[in-house]
Amino acid sequence: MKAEGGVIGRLDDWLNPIVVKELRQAVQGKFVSAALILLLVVQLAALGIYIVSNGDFADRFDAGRTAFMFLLGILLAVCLIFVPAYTAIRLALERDTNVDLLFVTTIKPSAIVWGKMFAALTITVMAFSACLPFMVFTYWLRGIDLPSIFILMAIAFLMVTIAVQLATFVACIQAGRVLKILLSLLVFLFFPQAFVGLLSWSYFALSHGVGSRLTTWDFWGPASTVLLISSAVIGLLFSLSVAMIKPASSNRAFPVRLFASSLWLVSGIASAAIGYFQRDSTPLSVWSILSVLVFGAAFFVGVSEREQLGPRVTRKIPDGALRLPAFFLFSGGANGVAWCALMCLMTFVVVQLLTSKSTTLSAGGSMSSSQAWTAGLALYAFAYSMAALFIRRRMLSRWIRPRLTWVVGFLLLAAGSLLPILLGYLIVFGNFRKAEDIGGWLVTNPFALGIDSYRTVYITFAGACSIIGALINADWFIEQIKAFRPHVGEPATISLELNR
Amino acid sequence: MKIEVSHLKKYFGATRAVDDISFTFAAGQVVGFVGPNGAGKTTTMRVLSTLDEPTEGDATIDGVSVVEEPEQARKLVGYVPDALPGHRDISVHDYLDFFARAYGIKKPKRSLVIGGVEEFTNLTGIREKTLHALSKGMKQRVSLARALLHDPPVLIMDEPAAGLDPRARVELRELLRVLAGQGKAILISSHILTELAEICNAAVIIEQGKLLMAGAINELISTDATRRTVIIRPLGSPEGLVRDLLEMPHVESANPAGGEVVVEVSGSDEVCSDILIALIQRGYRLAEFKQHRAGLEDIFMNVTRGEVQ
Repeated sequence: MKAEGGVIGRLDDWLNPIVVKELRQAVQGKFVSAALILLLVVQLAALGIYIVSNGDFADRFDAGRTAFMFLLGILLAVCLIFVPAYTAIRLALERDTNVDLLFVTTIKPSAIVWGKMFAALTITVMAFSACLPFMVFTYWLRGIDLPSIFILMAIAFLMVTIAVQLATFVACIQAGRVLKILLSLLVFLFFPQAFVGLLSWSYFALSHGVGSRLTTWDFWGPASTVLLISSAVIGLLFSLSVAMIKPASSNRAFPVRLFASSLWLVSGIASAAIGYFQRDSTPLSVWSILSVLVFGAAFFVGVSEREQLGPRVTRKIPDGALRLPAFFLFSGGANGVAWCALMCLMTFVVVQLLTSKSTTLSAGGSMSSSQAWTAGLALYAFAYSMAALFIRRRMLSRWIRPRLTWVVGFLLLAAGSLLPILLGYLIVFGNFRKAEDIGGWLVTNPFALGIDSYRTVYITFAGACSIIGALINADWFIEQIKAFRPHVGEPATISLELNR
Repeated sequence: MKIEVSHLKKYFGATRAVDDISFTFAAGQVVGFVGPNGAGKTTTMRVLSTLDEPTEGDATIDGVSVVEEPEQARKLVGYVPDALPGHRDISVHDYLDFFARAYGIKKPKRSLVIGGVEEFTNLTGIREKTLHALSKGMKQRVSLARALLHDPPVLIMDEPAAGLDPRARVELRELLRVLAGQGKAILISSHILTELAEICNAAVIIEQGKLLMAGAINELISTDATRRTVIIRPLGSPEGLVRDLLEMPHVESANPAGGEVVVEVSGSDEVCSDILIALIQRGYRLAEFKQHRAGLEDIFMNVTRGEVQ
């Protein structure tokens, strides 16, 4: 009893319940154990076959590297596909059915996502630990050094973490079974690409010697950039996953927007600093285009948010000067669109200001081209999301709920990107031509911004569509702006507090 | 403690699973939630348990909205779904331990709470068994145990008696009686209406998402008491008795069945009493004269049409 109430008891209380349950199930069950044993057997067999079939290693100096690549391939194949799928399917089942009833308990949404992640990463660590002796053994076959082995395994682990977080995010999305399966298939297409990409990069890195560069900026520069970008992606997906499983009545967009805005600021400062020290505008260009891609996608999320805020959110709306910034950060359809538009505009203006004031920051790259991309992508995303919003509100409101407006948006985007050029090919020009010759047919395709000769036309077209989109949805905006005022009345929690 | 369902609506596309339902119940009440398949019982219960959000309307538990404050409402509700726990790789004790942790019950108390709930639901002897190895009745007990871990004042039970053998049903009924005695408000749906009638003191009847009747069982029965069925067993041939009965006012029909006569009467208890007096005055010797009292089943059959959406 003493131990239960003491330090061990307190440590036990801190443990995430999901982690405890998932690991107990993993240990008591046969599935995970069988998968781990199978992985070990396959690694052992692969290494054994390689050694036996290659016989004499006396004059070979790359045997270790080749063997390591084989083993890394096997490990990644298992961890990039099995672990994310295992985690996502279990969470999706718990969300869709009564199997686990996680969502009836008082456990916090962040604890659910974190617990699932931690449990999945523990299984990943177990898999990596099981394979580590075989992979370290390749050092004695020559052609690879120990630091390279550990660094590549660390990068592989980081990639698996992103894959698990991505799979968890998809499992958290509130959608019908068919839509969810389609989304899962779409996301799981990423994993084979990640697998091939990571293996190719690992081979390239090994060929150029990773271990020998450990003390140089050549290693730590890219390594820290990869680590920071990965952390940002994981953090963003984590905050999105938590928001997805929060009650719809809560102010669930607030932490996501706060996180994304902070990330935008920090990454912007970092990009400007790197660009300044390297006398190159590329980091800032990459940052601005990536930012607009994220906020452009967020337009579609914004138009799918709730249009009427409940008392739970309105109770938290501040009065006075803070009401304006709160409007951009709080949940709500108009709020989401306004936030995305503001972030896109700020990205454009900040880059414009920085490059016009500093010749160092505008050196080396084509800043005007990246600024055109930034403006064009933002305008196209806004125009498509506004068109989707209008169609859903005015034509499909009986069949499609607001939260699925993004599906209409993506269908429009797909149709706009493909249909005109297909029709042109079938009806007008009849054979393949250079993009420059048929640029007019690509005016509804945001990805055609790369055609220099038509870029001004495209941006003008997207701008005009954006203005029309804003005008036809003006009533939607005005209604929500008017409704964004602090809740008047007794706080609903008072009676509860008194009863506790 | 008062549970108030107010103008609750839940639509799935064009289907109105729950269509403007309002009712209330309070601590210590066991309320039967009755309706044909597809009536909207499970949907209403899932909304009350914060698993689903209503299209419109709200439900409050002790003033806490399940829509606006679901996190607070979850502390007040224990939900027993119609699906039973069926994990392959987890023991009864570990399963309950997980939910106790999820409800934030800390270590010294957690062991006591789990032990207490296991004892109450008679799970102590099977606590180390894995869930998938349990019988349906035992899984139902685990489900109830899980819902009781955080000692909620409100229990919502969706078809808890479905598929249980007679012994398990009797045991479940006893458990519910004890829980109601502890002052918990219980909303329970079941197709076995005779069972419900024995343990419920109120009922809510819905069909096609709409509320048909709601109130205390006695009130519902008296509301439905415009017709009575009387069974008479005379000490001789029933032929003359049938003729005489049909001549009496308020007697709608009189049908001999074996040695008995089944009489449909439109009217109250007083009318039945008048019929008995008239028969004795006419010299009939009766071995038995009994009124078949309307139960929940009769009310259900009278008010519902068995339609689904």
